[in-house]
Amino acid sequence: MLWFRRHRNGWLLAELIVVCIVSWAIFDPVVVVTHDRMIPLGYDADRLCLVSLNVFRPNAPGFDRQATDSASLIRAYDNLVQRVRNYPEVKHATPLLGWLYPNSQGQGVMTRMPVEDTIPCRMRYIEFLPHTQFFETYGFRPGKGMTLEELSDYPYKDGDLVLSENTLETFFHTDNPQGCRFWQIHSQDTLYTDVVGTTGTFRMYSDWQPIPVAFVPMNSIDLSYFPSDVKILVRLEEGVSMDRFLHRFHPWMVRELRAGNLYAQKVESYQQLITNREYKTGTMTLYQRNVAMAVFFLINLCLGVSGTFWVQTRNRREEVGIMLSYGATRGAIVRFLLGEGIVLTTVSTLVGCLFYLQYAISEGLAQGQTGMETTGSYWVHNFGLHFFIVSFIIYLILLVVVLVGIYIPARKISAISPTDALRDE
Amino acid sequence: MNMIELTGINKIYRTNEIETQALENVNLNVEKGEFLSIMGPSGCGKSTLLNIMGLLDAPTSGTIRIAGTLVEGMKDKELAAFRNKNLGFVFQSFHLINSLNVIDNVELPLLYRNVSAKERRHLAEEVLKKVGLSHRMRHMPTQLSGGQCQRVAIARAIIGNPEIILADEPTGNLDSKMGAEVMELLHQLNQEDGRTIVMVTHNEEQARQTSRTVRFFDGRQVG
Repeated sequence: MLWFRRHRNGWLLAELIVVCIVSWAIFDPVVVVTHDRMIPLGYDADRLCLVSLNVFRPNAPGFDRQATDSASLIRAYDNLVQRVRNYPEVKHATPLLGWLYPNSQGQGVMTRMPVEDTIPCRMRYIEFLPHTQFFETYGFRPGKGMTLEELSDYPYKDGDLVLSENTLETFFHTDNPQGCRFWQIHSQDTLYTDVVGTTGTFRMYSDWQPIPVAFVPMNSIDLSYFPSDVKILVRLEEGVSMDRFLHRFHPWMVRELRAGNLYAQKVESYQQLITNREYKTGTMTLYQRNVAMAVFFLINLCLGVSGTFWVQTRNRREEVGIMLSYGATRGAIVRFLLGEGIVLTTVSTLVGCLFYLQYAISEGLAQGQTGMETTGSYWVHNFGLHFFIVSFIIYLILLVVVLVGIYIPARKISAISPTDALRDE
Repeated sequence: MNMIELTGINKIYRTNEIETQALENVNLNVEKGEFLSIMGPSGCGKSTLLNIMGLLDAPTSGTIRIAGTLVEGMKDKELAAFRNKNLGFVFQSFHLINSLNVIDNVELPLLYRNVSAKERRHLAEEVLKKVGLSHRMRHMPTQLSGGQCQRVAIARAIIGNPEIILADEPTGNLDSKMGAEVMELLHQLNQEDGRTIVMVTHNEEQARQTSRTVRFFDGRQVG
């Protein structure tokens, strides 16, 4: 029957093929970025907040001329961290120096070669102060070997590194850090770097897939970070509401959290930090724009395609009247019309996807925001699987839209009496 | 044996303001193998009666018995199956599906039975041969003359081998020559196959050729 209605169905088919190709271009980036954003962050950011510190200017009230030396600054910093740790409902707190931490605005890249290998491996790095509850405060998943507490309190020597599990797996093909070493040439010397522990895989940036990351212990405090890049990372106790905590903490912080010439300037939740970064880098705006476009397209798709099928189905009253006269039930009519829609959608999606495949083979599929080589084996990296899954999602969307466009008028025209259906023509 | 028994049939069409009595206390029996013609002026309720006989429309009151089966209380699904098995329709304006070719139009009633595609095709070819259109099987309805279209409609009506054929002015849209051909075919189905035929017509000559004529006026049987 579809073949005999080929002239009319040909137009419907052509419309659906075009819609399928456009759907691919619009939905693919949204699907990939949504997939990336749904990968677990790797640490619980909901109960983290960040206190930014600053130092009094020499002419500011409260400025202590006796406390301007580096030892006083470090003492003051330690004092503030201790006071935050003692604040009710705070589970952990750690000093955070610099701008190299998850979801920060800054980034640092280092290159090392695994022993018995000569290919340099690039990875992001995060600096941390040992013995400051750094790993517990972030709450990374522990990797194989040491617990988070043990990682924080390990007696690191110069060059030691902690890697995330995905980094270890990528560069050493193991989940056990024991015996894993990097080497590098430094002024004609060969320096070795030991991997002493691992954390679970986490996402360095909230909109990226996991990438290789190394933790670099700072065995001394770099005073160049003062005053603008000195912070305290705070983890709340379980079950504590961030909003309520900040509501109580902020006035106390403004009033009490100062030592020497150092004072707490700002506190914000880590989620806010993540959101701010996504807006500053433009990725959130891009994602929102893509989602808005997809939603707008979907609405138009519903109106356009459903409308076309709606009109086409309503115009088949006589045919339905004839079918009812010759023994078709309401259900049979609805099933028949839906069946036509399913065949048309299936054929057009197959053809549309094959057309898009030609483009995808030459230009590639959407890759999301990951700037460096990601380490995960996610389906979005497998061309065949990626193409199949997005095609299937598009097929389901088109199928729902077409079937809705058919089902409602089909129900209506199958409910009218055959005499009415035939009389109208 | 009565093939169709209508007892006390009334049909009233109601709108918010008007109530129209289309049929009033119609009692009519049609015997097996009979060729009955129904005559009357336009709007007297002939087609309404035919639709009620064909279970396409329900009476406001009264009972209908077809081939010995009381159809009152049947659900939609049962009515559809009953229509499919026992009744064949021929309409004045043919009501062929223009997007389907002749043989697919003819096969239509068998789509709602468990008949294989091969069997459907075979039966459709048989009935098209019977109505003299075996050479037009692949044609579209728009490529046929009115008489040929009506013969396709008759083939569709008889493919399911129903005992009753209900024809609503089957020659109304045809010239006299084509009308005569269609009437000849209906007589052939009546006499050779023993099918019961009820035909609505305005044509006295055609009515005279049938075994009995009933006349209607203003929804009542008057003769």
